[in-house]
Amino acid sequence: MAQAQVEFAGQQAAGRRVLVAEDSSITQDLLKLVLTQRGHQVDIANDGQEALHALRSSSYDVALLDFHLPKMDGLQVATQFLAGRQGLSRPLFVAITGDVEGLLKHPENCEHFDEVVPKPLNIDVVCGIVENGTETSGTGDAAQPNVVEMVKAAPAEPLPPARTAHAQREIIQRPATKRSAAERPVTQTPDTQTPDTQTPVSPSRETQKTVSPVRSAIEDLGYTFLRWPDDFDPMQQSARSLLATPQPGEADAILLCEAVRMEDLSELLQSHDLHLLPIIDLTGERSAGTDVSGVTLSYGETGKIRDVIEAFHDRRACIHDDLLQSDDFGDKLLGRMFTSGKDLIARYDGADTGFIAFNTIVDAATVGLEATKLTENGLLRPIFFDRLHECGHCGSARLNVREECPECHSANLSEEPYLHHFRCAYQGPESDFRSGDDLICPKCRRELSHFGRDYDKPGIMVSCATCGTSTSEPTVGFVCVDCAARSDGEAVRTRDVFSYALTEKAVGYLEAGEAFLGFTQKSLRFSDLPFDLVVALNEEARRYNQDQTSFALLNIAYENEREIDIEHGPRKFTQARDLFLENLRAALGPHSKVFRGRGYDYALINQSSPDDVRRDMTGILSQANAHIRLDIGASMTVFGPKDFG
Amino acid sequence: MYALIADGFSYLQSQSGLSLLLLFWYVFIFEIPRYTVNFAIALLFRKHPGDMAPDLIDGERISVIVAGHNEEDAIERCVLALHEQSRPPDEIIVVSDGSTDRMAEKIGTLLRHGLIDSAHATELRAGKSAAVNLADRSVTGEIMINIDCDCSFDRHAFRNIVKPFVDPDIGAVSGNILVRNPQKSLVTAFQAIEYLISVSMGKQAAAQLGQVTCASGAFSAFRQTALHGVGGMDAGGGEDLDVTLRLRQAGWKIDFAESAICYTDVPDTLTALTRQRFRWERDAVRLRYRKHIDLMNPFSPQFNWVELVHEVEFFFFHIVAAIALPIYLVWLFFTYGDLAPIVLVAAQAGLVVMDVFTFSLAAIATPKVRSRTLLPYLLGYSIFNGFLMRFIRIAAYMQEWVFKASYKDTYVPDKVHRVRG
Repeated sequence: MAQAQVEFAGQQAAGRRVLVAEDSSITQDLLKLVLTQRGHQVDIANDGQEALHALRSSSYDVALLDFHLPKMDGLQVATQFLAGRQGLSRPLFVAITGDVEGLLKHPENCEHFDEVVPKPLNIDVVCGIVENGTETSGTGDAAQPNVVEMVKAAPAEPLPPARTAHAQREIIQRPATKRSAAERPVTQTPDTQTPDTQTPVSPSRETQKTVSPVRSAIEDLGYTFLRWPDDFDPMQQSARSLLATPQPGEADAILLCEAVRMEDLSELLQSHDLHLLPIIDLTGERSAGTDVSGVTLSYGETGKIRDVIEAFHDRRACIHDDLLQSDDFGDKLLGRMFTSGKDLIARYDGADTGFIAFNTIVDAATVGLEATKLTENGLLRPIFFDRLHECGHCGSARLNVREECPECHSANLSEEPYLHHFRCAYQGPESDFRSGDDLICPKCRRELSHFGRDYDKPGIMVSCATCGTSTSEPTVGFVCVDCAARSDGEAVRTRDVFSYALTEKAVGYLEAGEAFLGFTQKSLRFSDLPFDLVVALNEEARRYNQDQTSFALLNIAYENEREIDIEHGPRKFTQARDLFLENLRAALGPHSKVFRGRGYDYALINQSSPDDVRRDMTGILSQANAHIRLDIGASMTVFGPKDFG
Repeated sequence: MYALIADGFSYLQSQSGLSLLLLFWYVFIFEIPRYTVNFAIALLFRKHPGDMAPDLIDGERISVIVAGHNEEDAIERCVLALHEQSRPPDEIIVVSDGSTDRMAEKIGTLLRHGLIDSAHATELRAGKSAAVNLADRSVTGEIMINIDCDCSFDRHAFRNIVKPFVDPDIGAVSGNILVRNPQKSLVTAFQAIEYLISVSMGKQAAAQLGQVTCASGAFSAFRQTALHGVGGMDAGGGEDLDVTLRLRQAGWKIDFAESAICYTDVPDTLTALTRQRFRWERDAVRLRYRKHIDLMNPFSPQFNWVELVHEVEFFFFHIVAAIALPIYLVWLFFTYGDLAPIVLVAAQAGLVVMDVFTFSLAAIATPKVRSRTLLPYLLGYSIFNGFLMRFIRIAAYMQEWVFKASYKDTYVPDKVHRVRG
């Protein structure tokens, strides 16, 4: 097993030597164009043999190998190159493939790859890998500086230690059981370490502990776990002070092995992308805030843990970069809700002065505050849970509610019937009349002997044993259990508590990023553009630079995609979108190309100025919309050469 | 017709003083003395506002009792108005007497808002007396003001009604009740005149003579020691007359505060008025001649010459006058035939003149009332008061004597009627 010692050299890296082994000329062009523009030296290999030859004849920092190459696939190239080169310098091997599953299932050991980048390519990711990860001349297995062992569980079968790229979205959903085996050492140089990780400690103490059978079984599932408290700084057991700062995706779940305070757990949200990991409770103390409890599982039920982790993987993969990288607390909360697949459900919690807890790892007050903001932005839908009464003095919702004397506020009340003596009109509590076993009217001293004829009981009176007042209308009062302050029932402050569900808008935002909200409608994201468009754009840019031949790029957005998805199903939308693009092609004529993207579509119009296109926009849109029965809400933004400066 | 009237007048003009007296004996016996007494007393003893006790009684707590049945619409406005008084009460106690509407709920809300101090709600109706007694148990003030919640009060009404209590012999003070809806109908306009003359001025006069016999149930103040001394309210109706008579027997003085003004809506149809007066007159008869008959029995230990004055006054001017009226009419028509109407018209003309005088005096005594608007109604007032009311009285008395009708009043629950004295 080869262990690569890869140096993360930060942003200063420049002028890398890069080998691109790719049989698609478009991809070749694109990668060469982009990487060359960024100052790297790029060699192209059209098939596996050429690639192997190039690797052996020259020295490269990075080898971008398409997995499916003619003559010899990328894996074979890497394997053959590395054979017999133990300890010698080697490039960073990056697998490019549209078939991640195929790569992972490959019978040969494919762990020679340091990175796996799925197709379609995200140019930013590729650039990041090329510039941040380079080969170091290492000493093979012997040199292990700053090695942090993240994966301990025994492998079911060996798999590539594919370190995820910067964008979580690009992470491949690896079958869990095939993960981990390889102890995948990652060498980190000090300049890229976070402050928290400057003193890496071998987590060997983990192995010295006695672990429960269930925990062992969970750990045997073959995932990478972050264990509380072992993987966190023992001095300040806080999620911020992770001993090892794993890159997003390196850990699959967090195992709570010991009781943890809510505030410590809350910090997970603040810390990297850990809020997107499932939290498995092995203590039984915090089962409501965690995603799955290992305590209640029997030995044979650990598959449930796998299901939860896999569900998290799946949903995490759907989240857009914008949100994965966002430090905004609200974004993190949305991300947490989305990945855990659970609404924010309020419940009563007597341990908290606010009397409410949510099924998440953040305290209710913070959740309430943030969720209110998100609700205002239309990202959460509030579902009324309850109206709480709060102490006006300390804010606690732990109040004792009692009927009390309107005069002295004592709760020492007792009920007694009123008694009405018809003959003399005396009316008072029964005790006024009680004389041993007899009822004697205190006013006229007559005996009341016949209910209904002499007297009746027209109602119930409440008497206060403290001050002697009697009334039929005791008041309601609240006494704070925490600070003993008393409030009148009418005056006590109330607070409405809601559970929250993600809105369609929030799901759209999570999946499509800020563009969905329209924040960046006017700017193009280079990494979002389809390959062939990037190539075509570069060609147009070159022409513009040469002879000022203008061009226009249309960015087409579909506002009603989600609505149509919900109402008619995704197929109908795709059909409508295809028809729209077909119409658009016809409308724009031969001097244009239409490109299909993921969230947006694009059209590149040669030899036209953006202003001309803007003028014709209405006509173009109406032609493109012709014969489409569904309103897909297409809108176009026009960009010209100057927008790419 | 004209000849008949002319004959009538010439006949009247030809009569000597004695024969006129014989002709108008009813007027001379029952009307002239009443007017004269009222007129004279009011004129001679009329208090000026400044004559009243100069200050409030210091340090005394004032409690208000509002007892009502199905008053959900009126209770809130009534309580809010109490807080508008220049001398706000120190304590407000409200009783919902077996209300079947949302009055109990309303008073609970008032209590929670701190607008009242005590609230009682019973589920079975016990009658006004028992409701007041229930509230009276928890009264902490030395002065208790009992009001009806459909009344409204002048800003200084409470300040003025407690003033007479500076005299330690005063056991109760009656407020001055005026009509709030005189413009509603002819019936209410006549009642406005009646209240002004008989309640406002009549009670002023009675107060001068120590003859106030009814501290009005709609607005009266009681000294608690006095009220408790007589055992509070007895089973109604007419409990205001009853308790006042008992206070008098116990030696307490009853005063009238003409400047403690309270307005109430009076019945606006003849039917409603008749029903109300039937109740009042029946209760008066029942209380005076059944329950308190001892007041007229010289051999009873309860007998008192001072009490005899108002008993005689009531007997003569209410009962005898009412019974004598039909006798007079029959005699008149039997004796004078066609001339009888002329005689009656002449008598009415004389009464109108006296009414104008009396009314003017009453209006001066109670300047609050916009009496000028009532002036035109004076023309018919003597018919209303001298004929209609007397016939109603006769009917009521007969009903009470023969059928004991007061025991069937819906104003008092049946269960109370059955056992009350």
